[in-house]
Amino acid sequence: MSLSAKQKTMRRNFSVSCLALTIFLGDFVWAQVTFERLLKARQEPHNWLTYSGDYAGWHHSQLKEINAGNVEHLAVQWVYQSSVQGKFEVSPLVVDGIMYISEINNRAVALDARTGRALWKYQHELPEKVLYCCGPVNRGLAALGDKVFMATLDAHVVALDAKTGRVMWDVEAADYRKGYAFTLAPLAIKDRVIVGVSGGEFGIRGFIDAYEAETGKRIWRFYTIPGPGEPGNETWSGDSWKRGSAPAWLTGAYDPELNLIYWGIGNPGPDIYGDDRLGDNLYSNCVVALDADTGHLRWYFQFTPHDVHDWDATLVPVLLDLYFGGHPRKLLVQANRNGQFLLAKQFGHQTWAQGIGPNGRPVVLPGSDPSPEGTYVCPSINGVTNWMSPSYSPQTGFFYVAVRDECQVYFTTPQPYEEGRLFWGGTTKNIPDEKDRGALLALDPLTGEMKWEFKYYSAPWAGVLSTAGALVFSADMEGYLIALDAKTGKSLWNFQTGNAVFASPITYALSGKQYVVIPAGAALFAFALLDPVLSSRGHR
Amino acid sequence: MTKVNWASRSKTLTVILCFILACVLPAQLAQPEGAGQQSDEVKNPLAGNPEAIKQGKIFFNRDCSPCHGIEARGGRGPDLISGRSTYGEGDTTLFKIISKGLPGTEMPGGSYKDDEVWMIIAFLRSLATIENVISRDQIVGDHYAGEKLFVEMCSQCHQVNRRGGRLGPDLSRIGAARSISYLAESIRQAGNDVPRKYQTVVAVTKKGNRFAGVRLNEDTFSLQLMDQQENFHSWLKKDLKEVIYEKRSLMPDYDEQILSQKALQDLLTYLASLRGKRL
Repeated sequence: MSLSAKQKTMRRNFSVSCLALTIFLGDFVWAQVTFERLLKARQEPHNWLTYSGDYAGWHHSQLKEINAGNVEHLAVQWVYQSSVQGKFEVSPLVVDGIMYISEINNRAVALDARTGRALWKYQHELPEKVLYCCGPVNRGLAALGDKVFMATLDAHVVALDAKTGRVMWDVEAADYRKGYAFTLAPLAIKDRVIVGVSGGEFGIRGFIDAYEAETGKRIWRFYTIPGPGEPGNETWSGDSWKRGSAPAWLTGAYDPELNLIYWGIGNPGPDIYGDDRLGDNLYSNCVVALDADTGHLRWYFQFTPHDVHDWDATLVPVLLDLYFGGHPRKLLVQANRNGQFLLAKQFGHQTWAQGIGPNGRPVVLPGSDPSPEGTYVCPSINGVTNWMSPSYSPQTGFFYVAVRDECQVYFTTPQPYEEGRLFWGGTTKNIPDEKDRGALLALDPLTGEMKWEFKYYSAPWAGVLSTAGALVFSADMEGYLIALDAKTGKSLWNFQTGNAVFASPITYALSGKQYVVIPAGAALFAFALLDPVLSSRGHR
Repeated sequence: MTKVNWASRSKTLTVILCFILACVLPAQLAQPEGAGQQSDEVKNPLAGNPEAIKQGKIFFNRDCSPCHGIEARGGRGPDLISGRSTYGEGDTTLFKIISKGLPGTEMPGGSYKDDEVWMIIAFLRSLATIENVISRDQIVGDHYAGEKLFVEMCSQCHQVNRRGGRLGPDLSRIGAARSISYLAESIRQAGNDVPRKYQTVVAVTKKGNRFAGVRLNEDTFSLQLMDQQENFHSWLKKDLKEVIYEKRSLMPDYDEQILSQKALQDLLTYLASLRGKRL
């Protein structure tokens, strides 16, 4: 039964007081999330239609009701408590008054975006033992047509009826017992849903898949490691390509003009020990550009050839159309986990590379490889930044990124591959009592020049949202949601949520009222400006 | 009617009870919750295997030595070859501790395969030679004099069994958690190895007032501190002129002028006896 039909039934059967509720709930005006709408997502800033808010990975909103002049009046409007503790990494979608989230262990939930009350819940049934490196997390859903899509820890892709949560189709992409899993929010384009696999710590062979949104039929698969006879296979010694990992566990970007999807590829496996996989290990630690129709590789760029520090290049690619060298250019910016020049410049650490050579390869400093005795290297295995979303604001022209200042000792422990077992090839340790630090940086995307810096007490795991209200929102490990002046980095407002934040804030609007949302701990907080009229009514 | 001598009977009961407890308690202490009973004891299949000992040493040096010290002689974690353990010394117990950690202590669980745990145990057992065990910290001071000293000098800042101050670490199970030599060094040179949690933080207010204490919380925007009189302070960082991080401890060095060698022996004897309660 559709929601509006439900309302009609309620109206017939219940009293006048219920009628008021019916009219209120009747605000849900159901409309399909067409590809056209997704293409023009920025034109409906009251919604948040894709993982990054648009196809270009900007994580930016045109909403400006909340701005530097009034942000101090932000107040909690509602809190949704999820059922499970753990890293709540979701980036919610908001479609016409309904918020779609995923929780730990693959529960998908539709919430009334005005009250935070659940409309439906779907729990994906997981096998007893699923394999993951870093928690049973999920970063969100994708919406297309009348469906929402979730990619699951047991390597399934599931389509749900957006109105009811009913399963429309459920396909198995790979064998979870071998370490294949999904943690990302899918990317919906045209008539299809794109997903990239997790499992970089289990010796998988990574891939990116496209499925028909209507049926779940697989349209194409791009293996992130070329097979024998394919260009790039020679960059893996022996048969190491078979278990070379190179996952693709974060949502990519899409350029409709070129019909290309851009996707970040993860570390080669085993993560820390590289002597059994000599060579550049393509396409690990690359950004790849794929034809959206066929999945064929158009080009790639490798940030860290033959990585031995687990510095995945999976992070969100950000697409910018800017003048570069006097000409309009299509640019791709990625805040990469290896952070090679940033660390040296920003934190003053001797890092692992001197810079980038003329051929685009990093000029690696000797003594940077992990060893049996341990090698101290910056950045840590967590990277200078990680999956948390960066943001680009067309208003300031700045690229915002949360960065981590942390170093570690890398130890190698060669190990044979065993199906379904962690395949690190080593481990890393922090120096006891060496405090990690962090910052939110505003950079010029054309030059990398730092415009401002806001320092965090600890290395963050929260992403950035910029808005046309000349604000950036982010959060820290001690539980603060913060609002900064987008031009200057000046701290304007903060709120203590009571738990660490492993997510990126998003924003939406309902009836002209702008909300900012952030998960913290097991709860999802929604903020809006304190309405003086409403608050005075509340005191009557 | 026979008159019952309750006083004498109560003494008899006490003796019997003590006897029962004496029989029961050690067994219980040696078998913490979750640990296998005697009959469940599993022998290390790799005991004495030279290759296993070699590999176990690699794991130990990488993962365990930062706390337990090279050669397992203790540091921030306990000495592992002294033969004194709160949790029992059997292979089964050790296996569980290494695999799963000890909740309520600083000991985390490892992500080892079973045979890797046995390798670590094989390495630890290889260290426990007679010479090693005999030459362990032998401490024979006056326990009661040590306790008196502790109450007079230490309890203002340290708790034992919920009594004492809160500024420094709780020492209720310090005898199980640290080696004697580590404790001796911590008393003589308190600033040598201070966990970050107990390093001195100095908050300087805009008016120039300085408050030294230990950090209760710190974050991007605020600082909560406990000063040496156990007063709580809370500041927003924007209201402070400066926050100074000192590696030193608030605890003074107790050199021989303040604490004679004999008094140190007594104090260490008392501290070594603090084994905590069953967790």
